[in-house]
Amino acid sequence: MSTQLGFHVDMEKCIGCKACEAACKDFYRLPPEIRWRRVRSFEMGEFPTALRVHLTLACNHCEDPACMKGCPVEAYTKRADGLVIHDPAACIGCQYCTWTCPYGVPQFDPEHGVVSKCNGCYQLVDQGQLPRCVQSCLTGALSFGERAAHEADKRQAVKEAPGFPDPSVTRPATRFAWPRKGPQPERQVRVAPPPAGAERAADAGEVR
Amino acid sequence: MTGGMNRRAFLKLSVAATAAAGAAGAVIAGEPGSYVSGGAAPAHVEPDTWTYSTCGFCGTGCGIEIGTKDGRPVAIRGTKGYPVNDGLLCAKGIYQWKTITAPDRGKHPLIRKDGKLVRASWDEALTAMTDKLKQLLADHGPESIACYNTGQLCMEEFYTLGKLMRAGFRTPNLDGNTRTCMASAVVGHTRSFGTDGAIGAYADIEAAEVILISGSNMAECHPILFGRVVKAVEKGAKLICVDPRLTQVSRLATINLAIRPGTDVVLLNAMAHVIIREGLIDRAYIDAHTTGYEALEQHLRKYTPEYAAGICGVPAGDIEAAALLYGRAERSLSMWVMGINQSVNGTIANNCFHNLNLIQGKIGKPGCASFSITGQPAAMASREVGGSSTYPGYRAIGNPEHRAEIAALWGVDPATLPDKSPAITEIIDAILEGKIKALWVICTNPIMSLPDQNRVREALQKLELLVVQDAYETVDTAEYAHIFLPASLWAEKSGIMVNSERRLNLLKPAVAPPGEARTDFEIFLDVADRMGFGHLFPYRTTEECFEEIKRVTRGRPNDYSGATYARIEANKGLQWPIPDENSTGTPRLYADGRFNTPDGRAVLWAVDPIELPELPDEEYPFNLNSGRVQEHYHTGTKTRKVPELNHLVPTAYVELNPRDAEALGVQYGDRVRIESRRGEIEAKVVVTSQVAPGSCFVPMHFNEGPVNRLTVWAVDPFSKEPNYKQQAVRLRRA
Amino acid sequence: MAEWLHEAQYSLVVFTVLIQVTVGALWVLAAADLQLAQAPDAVRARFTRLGSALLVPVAAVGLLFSTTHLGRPLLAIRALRHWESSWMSREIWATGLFFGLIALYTVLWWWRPEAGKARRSIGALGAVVGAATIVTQAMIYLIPGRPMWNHWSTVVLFFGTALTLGPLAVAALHGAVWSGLRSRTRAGDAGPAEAGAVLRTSYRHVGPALLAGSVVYGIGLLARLSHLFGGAAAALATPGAAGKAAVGGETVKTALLLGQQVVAMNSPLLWLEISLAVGVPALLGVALWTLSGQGGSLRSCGQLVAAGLGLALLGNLAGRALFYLSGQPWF
Repeated sequence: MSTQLGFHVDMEKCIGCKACEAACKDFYRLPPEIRWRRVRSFEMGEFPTALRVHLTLACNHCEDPACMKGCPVEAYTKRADGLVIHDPAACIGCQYCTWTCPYGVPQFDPEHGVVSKCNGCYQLVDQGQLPRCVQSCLTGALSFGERAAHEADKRQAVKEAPGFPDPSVTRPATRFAWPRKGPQPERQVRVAPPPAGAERAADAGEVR
Repeated sequence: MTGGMNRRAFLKLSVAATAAAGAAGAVIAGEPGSYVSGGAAPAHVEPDTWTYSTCGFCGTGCGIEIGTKDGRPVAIRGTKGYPVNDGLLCAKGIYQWKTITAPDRGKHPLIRKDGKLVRASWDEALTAMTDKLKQLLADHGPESIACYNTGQLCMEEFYTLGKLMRAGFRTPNLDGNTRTCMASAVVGHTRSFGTDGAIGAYADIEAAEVILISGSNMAECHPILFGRVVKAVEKGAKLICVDPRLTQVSRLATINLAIRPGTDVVLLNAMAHVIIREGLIDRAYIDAHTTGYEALEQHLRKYTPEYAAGICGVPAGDIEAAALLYGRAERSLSMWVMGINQSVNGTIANNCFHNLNLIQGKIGKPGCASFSITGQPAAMASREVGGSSTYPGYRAIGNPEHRAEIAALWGVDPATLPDKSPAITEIIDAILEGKIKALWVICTNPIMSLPDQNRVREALQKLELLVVQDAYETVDTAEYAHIFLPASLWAEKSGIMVNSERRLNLLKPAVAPPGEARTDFEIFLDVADRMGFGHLFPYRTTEECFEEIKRVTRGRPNDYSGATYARIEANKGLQWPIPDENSTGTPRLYADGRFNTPDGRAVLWAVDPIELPELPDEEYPFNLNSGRVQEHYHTGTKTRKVPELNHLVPTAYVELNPRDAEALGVQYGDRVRIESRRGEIEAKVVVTSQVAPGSCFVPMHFNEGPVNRLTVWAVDPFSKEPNYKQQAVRLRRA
Repeated sequence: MAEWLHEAQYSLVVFTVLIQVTVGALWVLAAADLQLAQAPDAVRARFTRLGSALLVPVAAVGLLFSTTHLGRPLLAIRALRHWESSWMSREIWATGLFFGLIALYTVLWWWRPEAGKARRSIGALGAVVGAATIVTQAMIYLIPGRPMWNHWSTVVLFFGTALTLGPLAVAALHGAVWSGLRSRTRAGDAGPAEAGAVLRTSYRHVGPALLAGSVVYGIGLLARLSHLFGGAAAALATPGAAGKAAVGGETVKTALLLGQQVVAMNSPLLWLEISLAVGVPALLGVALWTLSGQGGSLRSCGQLVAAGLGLALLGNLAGRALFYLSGQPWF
């Protein structure tokens, strides 16, 4: 039986503290603009019952990775355990994967002329450790392991998340549990739009 | 001036630094060359040494290890098994190592010449400083000299500074920025329990059935603690949130009370009212351990949930439900921070929390506490050893017996010890009146952190001598300094910090200070020697100093007798009192119901709210709330130098409710001018339903939009803590 | 400005437009060449040969710009590796092959003009490979990761550029050649008169081609705008306030909403595209057909063509920049 490793995000527990993002970025010495893991914030409802929920995402290690399919130089490989690895040494910086990935995972670093992305800390995984982000999660909102195990519980097995692009295209391995209050996966969801236009570059799609 | 400096310049510097470090560093285990960066970009750096220490940011007091490679800081990790954080760190904590190598670290003393700060030797700088101080002492007496310090030195430094100012200079004018965050908690503790000292333990979070978090965006400001709360809630604990602003605390709360700003006293009185009405009190505990219950009960009769609902703006049913949830639980815990303390109602609101828990006997038991959380890593240490408004060992300034004890311990004449301790707002006013002529600012940034910036600016400009002692020479307050003294950061010194749960933990120097920078401890001793006060300081190391502190505080509530540097490290921190060498510390105070009042009983206070200094009106229709965000710390002198943090929240912004934004005709990203009766700033608009209509929120970190230019000059009558959370402003499109 | 240029992917704008110009030009030249095989004519042959001179330089500039898009341009050759699954690899193969064929075609015209049969085969093959190149270029953008591009109109638009700018470029070169020829010859010389007749025929053919090209471009643009605006309307029509995103398949509509917002924010580019990339070639097509038929001045025709090329090129660059701008990261 083939395996597929992936992340699991429990949005109920995620408080948007960005410890995961910082731990990843610090460990791999990524420049400020490069966010292998990125915490997005969404807001819904009105005061005093408005809710802000957070969505922490890195690479979804898709079963049908669009990045890998589109890469002209074969910088991507999908390992037997399902992790999708990008090798910057092979990369020519064409940035095509930054378009093909619906999730904005591969990111171009103009300073070094290459794309890079979350590799699931495969070197740590090979040593029996968890990825840095998962190790650093303050609330237990973020976990990592076999996708099948994440799907054991119905609440934890949701494939969709607010704003998360259609998972039927590349079949991401990430699974979600939704916040108990507010939106539910089977219901229509209303979330704040990403700010359009010039603001995006500097401030990303963040709430603040 | 961090914000004034070009962010791109910082970015470039930092990228260059990491690139250099990356090139020199080894990659992590795995086949060489197959590493993720493929040699094309900076890569992971594995430290060669990890040094035991304590986090230098908030008062949570996480255990950390500082990773260095070839003597340079390259990483910080949480200490595994440390009782506070067990290896975890928040985003600020993770990137803390970058604050050590920030390019604007002070490396040499500076003296102002022809309007410019120019490089000087230590001898020149300290001679200039002490000559002026000697002249002022001779001409105008000790009251012409003042010192304003911090909550971020180590215990030994606070003790030394307190002794230097009070026994050396004999000036009463010593205060800390702890005044602006913890003073209401200090006075609240003292009024209810006899002395200061936070009474709970973090372990109560896991032990509690119900957790009440009030006036605290703990998810952002104490993320490690809130992580523990989230885990407790997952296991079934119920959470009550009281905050005029919506946060992650309110999202996870069973009951959320989004009250009108500044109405906490009414809400807490109403909760106590319901608890008394429903008979959820512990009569035996009240009779045995408190005074003032009858008066309190009488006083609370009018505080029905319906009455409170009208004032607080939340449904009476919710207040009732919250009181019942809290009161019916066997183990309930209340925690609060600046939303409570930074108000004219700060002290009495603290007393209301203590009332609420005392009448239920929920003090000193696992899962039960009336727990004020601190904001700075060593604010507690300063409070305990006389760094600001007390003498060491929680001895009151105004108490002649306490002064006599201290005089005996220090070998000085009791008559020479000051018997008062003006607050920083009083010090600023005395500067404006011309009474205080010299101010020594240590490790704090009053231009940015005190209210009514324009008034503070005017005062600082009036000084004959302003000495700024800080790790960063670009600290905003240095703009007016006559002398700048470069000091060490926490990672460069040895000493003790104390966190919110009274846990002593150790700092061990992991790196050498940059250039000629010295530890604050060394600077204090040098100043003492030059002033001729050297005889007061028979110690030369912080460890020797701690031995003196132990003698001075022995038998006091904060007894450290059983602590040594080695024991603190071996035990991963010790919670005081630590009466002897076998003690592993004391998780909770007052477990025996004996308090530090003369009769041993806690005091119940019947209080009514104090009117807020400024309410929104036609001219200034918005309530302005100020605070922190998780990516930044205080006035940003540290975190804004970390490009990775600054990138996440790069500039000053104001949170506005969508309804107000629409009325003002502004959208996300637009710029607005915010005006109060004291000044105006500009900020970027963030439209969010996390703030109530008619309210706005501006974080305090950004000197390009300093919220404290708007805040009101009003203080709590008991604690003298400024009222930062409620003032009236108006907004218009910039 | 530099940031804006970067966001508008200026290197890819120039690259795609210039390659498409070259392809369109080759179509015209190869077709003329095939005609020559049936009805040999020395003057017409000379014009066609001169026309072939623009292929390699224009394509070379385009290729040069494409490499500036790369983070590590020196390693560009590696991009040929993944042709089994990557449209990007296929594009590079196709572009490389196309470039080789036009180079060969030019060499044959200029150094072995007698090898007509071989040249015409290479020309025809080049025309086919050129069409394939445009298909591979367009296929790069038909990706779910960028719903704003993921539409058949992208292919049509790219062909629209080739069909309008290619003939225009050839016609402009011919016009320039003719006016150069005229200024260098003395009165009474038969050469210019003959050349004028050929040019007049060429304009008469270019006219309908331009009209057809602008119709193709117009259809592509209309389809693309209705794709964006339709998706945006669908996103706004879902219950809840305007501009709000949803879950799963609905997120595509949010992306289209974002694309539509970008188009609206950059509406000057859209107006340039409509008026210059569609309008100008259409009007010019009509004008050329009419003027050349009714014996209008060749000189004014030539000036019209030159101006038209400049304007249409500008319109295409604006349109392509808008195309790239609208393909924003949307999550």
